[in-house]
Amino acid sequence: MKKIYFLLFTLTLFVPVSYAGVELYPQKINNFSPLDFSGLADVYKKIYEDANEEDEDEVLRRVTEYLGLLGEAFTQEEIETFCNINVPFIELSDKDLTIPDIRPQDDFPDKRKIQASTRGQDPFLETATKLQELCRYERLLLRLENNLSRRNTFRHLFSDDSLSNSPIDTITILQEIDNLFFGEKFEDQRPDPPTFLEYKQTNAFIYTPEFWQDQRPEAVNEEKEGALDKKDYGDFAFSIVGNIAGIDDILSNWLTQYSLVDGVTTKQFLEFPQSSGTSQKSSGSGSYQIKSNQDTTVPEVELVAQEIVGPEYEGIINDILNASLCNELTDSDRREGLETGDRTLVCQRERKQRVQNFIEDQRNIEKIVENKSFGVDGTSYLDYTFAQWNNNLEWLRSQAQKIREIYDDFITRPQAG
Amino acid sequence: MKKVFFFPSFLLWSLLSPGGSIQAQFQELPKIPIKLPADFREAFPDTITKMCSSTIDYNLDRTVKDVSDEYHNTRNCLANSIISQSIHTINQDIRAIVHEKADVLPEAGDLSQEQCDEDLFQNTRQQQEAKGLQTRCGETKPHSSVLAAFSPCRVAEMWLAEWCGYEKYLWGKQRDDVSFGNEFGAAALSPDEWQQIFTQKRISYQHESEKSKQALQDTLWFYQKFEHNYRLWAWSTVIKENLKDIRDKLVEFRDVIETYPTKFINAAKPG
Repeated sequence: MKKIYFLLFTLTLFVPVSYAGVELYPQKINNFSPLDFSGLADVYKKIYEDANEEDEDEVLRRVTEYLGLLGEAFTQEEIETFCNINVPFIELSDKDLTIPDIRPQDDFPDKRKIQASTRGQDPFLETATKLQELCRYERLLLRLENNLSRRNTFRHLFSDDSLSNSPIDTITILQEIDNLFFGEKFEDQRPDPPTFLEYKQTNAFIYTPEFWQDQRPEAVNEEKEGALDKKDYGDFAFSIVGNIAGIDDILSNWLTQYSLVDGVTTKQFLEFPQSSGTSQKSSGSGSYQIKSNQDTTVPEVELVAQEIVGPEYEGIINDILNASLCNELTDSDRREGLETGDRTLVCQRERKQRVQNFIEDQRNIEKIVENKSFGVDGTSYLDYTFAQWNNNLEWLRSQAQKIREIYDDFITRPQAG
Repeated sequence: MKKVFFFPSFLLWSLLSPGGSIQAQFQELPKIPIKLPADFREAFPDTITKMCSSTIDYNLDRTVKDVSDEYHNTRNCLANSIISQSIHTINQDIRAIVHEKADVLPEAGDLSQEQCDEDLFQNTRQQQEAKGLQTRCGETKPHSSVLAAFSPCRVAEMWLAEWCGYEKYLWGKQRDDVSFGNEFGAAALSPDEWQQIFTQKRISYQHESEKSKQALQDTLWFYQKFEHNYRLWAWSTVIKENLKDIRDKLVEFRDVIETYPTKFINAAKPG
């Protein structure tokens, strides 16, 4: 039994190896490459005309090559004769009763007739049989190759990452979506299986999606002369992931490093300018009382700041602006100026002091925010920041117009003579 | 243990040995024309209709050329109609969900030739169902209980029903000397000549049967791949258009927040 298995195993290797030298017939369905949907018309007709049709020259070539491998000597005429005779494919529409050009019965390589007179009695018939069988075998083998080639062509026609042979391609459109997500640089990794695309954070102020992959500084730099405008980029110049990364970078870095508007500070410098007498000031101490804005919702952090920090400033920007208008000093300022004899110095000193107090107060507020963000409730810093951001953005929007009114009033106000 | 190794080895040998499958191609033909019974000849078209639910008239007295031309032209027109209507249906299904973004999807237009019936697909299906064809395909349209009219399964059902009749017709023609004699005027031939020609004709009919079978298989295979890939491509295209809008909104939002540090210049300070 082992010998039988070994024999079978050997045969399985022998058969394909014996034909290893035969060149496979090229794809016959190459002419089917619809570039648009109109190219899909008459697809059945094209397939039918291509199905089970073999090039006779190719058949003869293979037969000749195989006979050469076997060391058999046949003339080309003999090969053609027996191979052509073996072609029984008369046109279906042939109603002509012309008798096919075949040899008389004795020479006609009919399979049944040869088998009846076999057993090596007639060398010619044996040779004819051999050639006939070989031709038929090669033809059918070629047919099998063509059919497989056709099916493989259709298998990959619409998913081979190419629009040169089909009106649609699923791989191409998925690549475009990948580009939309990850940017154009994703294409550079396509030859190799892309592993996890590493996100590399940059310190660029103007964040661009290309940076997140290889930090090539070819993205937009508005400081450079002649730099491309973002809007001039193509469809895939700015990816979704790149933009999200850029937004996250701004929110993560700038919120921690650059205190913008938050809680009490927002309220302070966006507050309406108050009438005289509302701001309290103690000389030299730099301490001020908070002026609560009862018209808007007070963020929670502001209440905490009021309880913990103590003296704070009110309406910083308005006070600074007002302090620059030395003609409208408060009564206390006037008294001080009268005492020192220099109203300008009073204005300048007042403004400087207020700015310094404002900066110090900002730092105090930041500490409160940070302490609360890592407080007992366990809220992440980003969530807390976004929550504050939502409140402050609404506050900013409503107060921005008021700031504009102040500036406009400042610009149009006649200067003191 | 022996049985364990025997069957895989045999299977491997039969698959790798090209001669094993091709030997089946050497089919034996009837040595002499078979005289079909008269009642069988007369009932042949109805028999095919009952067996296959085919729409074409497969009377043995019809010439092979006429039947063949009708069959292939009808299949070609049907293929064109199926492809174009399948594209249209898929676009409609997507448009029902995505609405305006589906405008980017192309339409195949009319792929049919001038001699094709515009309602060929619907008429063929109705005739087949009238003759007893019952669908066994359960694919429904997305998010619906309506059967998918152009699913590969239903299309294959329709095509196989038609090819069944055509195959049986060619089978009958290979064995019917009456129609052959009438068609080719065989009375003027000697018995040997008549035998040779009839043999060659039968071989050609068999070849035509194999050829049309292969064409049917490949066409169904093509449609299956096309329908699947087009559906995937259409949905991906619409998704891409929506992602573009999302991307543009993200860019717009980022442009706005990027200006915050510089706009609030006196309110911002480094940490």
